[in-house]
Amino acid sequence: MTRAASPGTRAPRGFVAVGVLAAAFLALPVLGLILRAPWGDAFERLGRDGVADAVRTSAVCATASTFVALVLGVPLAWLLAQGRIPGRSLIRAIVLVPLLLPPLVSGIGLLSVLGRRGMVGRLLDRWFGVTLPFTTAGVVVAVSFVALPFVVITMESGFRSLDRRLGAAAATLGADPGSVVRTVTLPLVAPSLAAGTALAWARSLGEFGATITFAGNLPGRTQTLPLATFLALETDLDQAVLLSMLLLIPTIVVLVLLRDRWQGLS
Amino acid sequence: MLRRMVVALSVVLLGAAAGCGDDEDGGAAAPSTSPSLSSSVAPTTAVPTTVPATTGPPTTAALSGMLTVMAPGPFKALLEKAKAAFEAANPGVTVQLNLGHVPTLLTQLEGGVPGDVLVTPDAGTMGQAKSKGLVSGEAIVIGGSQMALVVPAGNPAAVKDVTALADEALRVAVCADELPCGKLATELARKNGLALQPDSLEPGGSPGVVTKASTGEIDVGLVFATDVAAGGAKVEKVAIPEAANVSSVVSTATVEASGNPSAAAALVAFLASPAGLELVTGSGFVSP
Repeated sequence: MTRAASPGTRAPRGFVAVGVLAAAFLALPVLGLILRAPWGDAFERLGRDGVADAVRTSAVCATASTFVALVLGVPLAWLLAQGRIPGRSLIRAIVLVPLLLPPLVSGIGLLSVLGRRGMVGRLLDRWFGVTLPFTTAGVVVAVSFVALPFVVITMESGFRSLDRRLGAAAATLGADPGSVVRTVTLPLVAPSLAAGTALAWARSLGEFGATITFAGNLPGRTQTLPLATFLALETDLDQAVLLSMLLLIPTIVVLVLLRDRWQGLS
Repeated sequence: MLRRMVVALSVVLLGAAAGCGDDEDGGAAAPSTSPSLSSSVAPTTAVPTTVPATTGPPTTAALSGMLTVMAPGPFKALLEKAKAAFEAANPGVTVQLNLGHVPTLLTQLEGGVPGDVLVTPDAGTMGQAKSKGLVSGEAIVIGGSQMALVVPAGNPAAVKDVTALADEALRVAVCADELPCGKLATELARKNGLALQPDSLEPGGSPGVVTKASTGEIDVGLVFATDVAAGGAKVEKVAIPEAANVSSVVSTATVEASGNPSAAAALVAFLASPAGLELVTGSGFVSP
């Protein structure tokens, strides 16, 4: 477990100083938020109207979106890693799009496909009377779009680093492709899976732009914690900071716990 | 240890900020001091006593430097016209617009973002800015903003009046309660005895509601009348008669922490001047 620093891994000159600066650059604003949060009346503030609803909506939507991102993302990552599909680099570029687009614009893109007048949304409305915008399901769709790349990218690199001979050996012993993935491949990429899941979940929890464009904002239905936080900014900065703690603390706890778990695995 | 790091970092940041300020002031101030009127006048007139000329005129020094106007996004068209007119009249001044969400503007000012002039779409916001000590002097009213209904082009739900906002069968969006236009929505509902049935309380405010109408996601929304134009041909305006309508007061003031208070005051005065007010009413606002 303890990895002694070998001579070859001594830090190059300056890396320590820059590394400390980088860590401080990221940590200090968070520390500033924590110090600024109104801990004194936190209980009263968290009991206010809408907070419980926003927490519930966020928890439900982040979890559901992470699930959607895993179900959709793992097979795509596997295909990309195998390298047998045409237009692979184009697909890889498309996977990055949600990371590049301002999420507000992603929301417009989703509306143009899945909105009430969208290419697909129009048909959903006509055939099933279903419209996604302004519904909790709409939040899940918006958040999944933004979270999916994290699963695909992490899992693709996980699949690529695998020793393919293991899968081939299992296949020679009579395992069909489905059970090779289930019993050999997935357990081997468990650390990537955990990392992808954690990143997707963290991104889902913090999603704001695509949600407000595609799903709107109604407490109890589509108002997630980031939306409630944004609105609290309008009237009560302290409340906004406290609500952001509800996003920050669970995320950091989960990431720290998972990190220990990964190191235990390796 | 942590404390020392915080201190060290803030010193670095402050230093950087101060550096930027110096640069701007120095660069912009230079032209106003270099041309000397007296030297060009003195030889031609050849007046022996140059004493009055060298002591100079009292304090009609030309305004100079950078001026940052903090205003809501929908004021863009108006303020771009005002910027052009003001810069033409004051060649030493460069006006830049920091357009954003109203509450964000206040948060930015509180956080120390440099701004010189604040424009607010309602009295409540200006009151907040005043009580927080963010603006100095009197806020000057330059116009009013009325509300209107926005519907997708062709008005598919045949919306006629404000009662549509309380129709459960329709897709309705209004601004979030926390925003100026959301407060006006509440006021309008009260005035007309309506129980609003919104499907979304748009955090993006009036422009957010217009977007929802332009994509056809809503049947009707309540917005500032001046914001409907941003939706182009994809939306239509359904006017609200005076008797059923509500409005807010547009005002402007200089920012307390302004680094260029004399130019800031001049811009505020320009906006409130007949020429400025003409731009205001020409941009769809009602006269104060």
